Amino acid sequence: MFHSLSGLFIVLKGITSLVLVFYGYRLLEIFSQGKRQYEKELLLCFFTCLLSQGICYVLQNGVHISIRYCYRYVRTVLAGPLSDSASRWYELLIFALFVPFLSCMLVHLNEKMKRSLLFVILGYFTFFTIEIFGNITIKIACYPFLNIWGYILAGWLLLHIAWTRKEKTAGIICWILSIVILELEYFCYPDASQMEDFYFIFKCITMLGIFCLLCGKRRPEKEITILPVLAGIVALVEVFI
Amino acid sequence: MIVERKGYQTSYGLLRILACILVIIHHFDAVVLDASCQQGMAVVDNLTMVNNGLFFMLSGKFALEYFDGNVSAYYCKRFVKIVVPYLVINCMINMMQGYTITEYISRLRHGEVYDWFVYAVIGFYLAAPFFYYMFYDMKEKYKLLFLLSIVVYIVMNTVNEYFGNVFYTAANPFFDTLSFFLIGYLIDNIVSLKRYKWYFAGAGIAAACVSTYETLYLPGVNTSLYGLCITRICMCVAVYVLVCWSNSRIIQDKNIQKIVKRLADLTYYVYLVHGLVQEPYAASHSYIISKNPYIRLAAGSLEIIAVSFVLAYFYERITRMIYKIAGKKRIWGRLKSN
Repeated sequence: MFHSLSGLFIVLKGITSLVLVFYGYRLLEIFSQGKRQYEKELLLCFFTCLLSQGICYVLQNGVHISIRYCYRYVRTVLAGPLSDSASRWYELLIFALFVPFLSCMLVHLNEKMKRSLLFVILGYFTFFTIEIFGNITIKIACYPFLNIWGYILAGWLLLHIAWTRKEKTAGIICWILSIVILELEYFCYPDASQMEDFYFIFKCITMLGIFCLLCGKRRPEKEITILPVLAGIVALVEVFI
Repeated sequence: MIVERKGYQTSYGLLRILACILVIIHHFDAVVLDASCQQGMAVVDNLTMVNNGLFFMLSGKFALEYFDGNVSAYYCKRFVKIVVPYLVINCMINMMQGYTITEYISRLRHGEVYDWFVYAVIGFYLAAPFFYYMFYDMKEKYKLLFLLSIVVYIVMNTVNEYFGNVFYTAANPFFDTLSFFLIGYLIDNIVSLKRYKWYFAGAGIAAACVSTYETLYLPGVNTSLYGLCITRICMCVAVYVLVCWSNSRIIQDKNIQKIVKRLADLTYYVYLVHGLVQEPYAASHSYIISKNPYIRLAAGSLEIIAVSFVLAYFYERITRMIYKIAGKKRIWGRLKSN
């Protein structure tokens, strides 16, 4: 019972990452189309954070109507997320704030530089995976393309690099292999599974593969926004589980 | 965009030397510390802690102003110039402490010789070629906005530290040590900021006063002791601006320019070797020439600085020679051309 619940929880967490990659990509594309639309999206991200944080706050503290209660809520909003899922929306909000600057970078990258950046991002996730398995502790501080930033930028790059047919085939094989390794790893070591680890390269490739399959021919910037609804559902599920 | 100023390179060299001296004083003050000077040394310790910030700001400024488009050559150059000399010296320091090479490698693997500054520099240089493109064509108002966003985040962090909140920092990659690198570049490349030089200086002095007050009277809530508080940033920026934006006549002198350039080129090696000098020097107690701990600090630091510069000179020469032999002059030639 416990295992099936925790497995479900991990799957839910994976979906959150995927949604973030999707929306991060969407933000980058929307910014290049127009600032007004981008500002709307930024506000949406902000309210998503407030909602997610609000749900966690209410579930933890109950409902009261007082100035002190509201003040505490504002303080928790400023201090940081109350739950793991809320932290993802915080990450998206901060990413959204820096989209104009990142856009300046991505616009100027030529094909070679795009490939280099993707290589650096995935290389760093690989390095982390080697650290986990090799029992090595060399944490390179202040590397910026970690967390969801690495995922989003890698997702954007995957869709903006002109891949050859051979490279596409190799990518699909890598993706299938990653899924197999993830599953094997989870079934063999359910208690010590690295599936939850955000920096796990196989998880990263699996998520990015799904992202590419979903967004390959569609235009995510045109999709209907369901961000606040997702935030609410994930926050509720996380608190109850 | 490079902002032209009189005595341009020399002032940056001067700042590197100053940062290097501050590092040595900062590391040596714990050695001369005794019961009679705890508070005074805490102030010295706090004020000299700007050293790393200055180094990072200078690295950021130079790394983000020029990039030739070749990522692998860029990484290779940094690896040869930064990581290899560091590993050699680090290994020597560990062997001096009684570890064998095998033990050193094992310690390195398990993060037991965690020299945070090297990891911070590596982390930054990994991303620097891409950041170059971020700022390549960025309008000045966007640069200013970017600088403000970093500063606001640091202010929020400081306020949260003050009130005992755990501020959420993990999601912002332009935070932590990276902010020093970026601030160094941005401060120098936003031309309109030049006219506010004295405001920066004032803010730095005010920050130094606040952090000194905190050190002396509020030991429990000393936010200035956190690596990334606004007082530390203000102090670093003030020193940076005052030294680098100065048009002093002394800097115009060609002989002084030559000396500063030569010494500045050695600063990274001094940074590395000063540990080799300081440990035996502290153990020998030869710095105890006076009862006054501040005189001991000044005299001891001076001696370490002098010996470190001499050692660094030879170390740099040997490194250069080895690269020449190993690469049949190719590696060093490539480094020079880059």
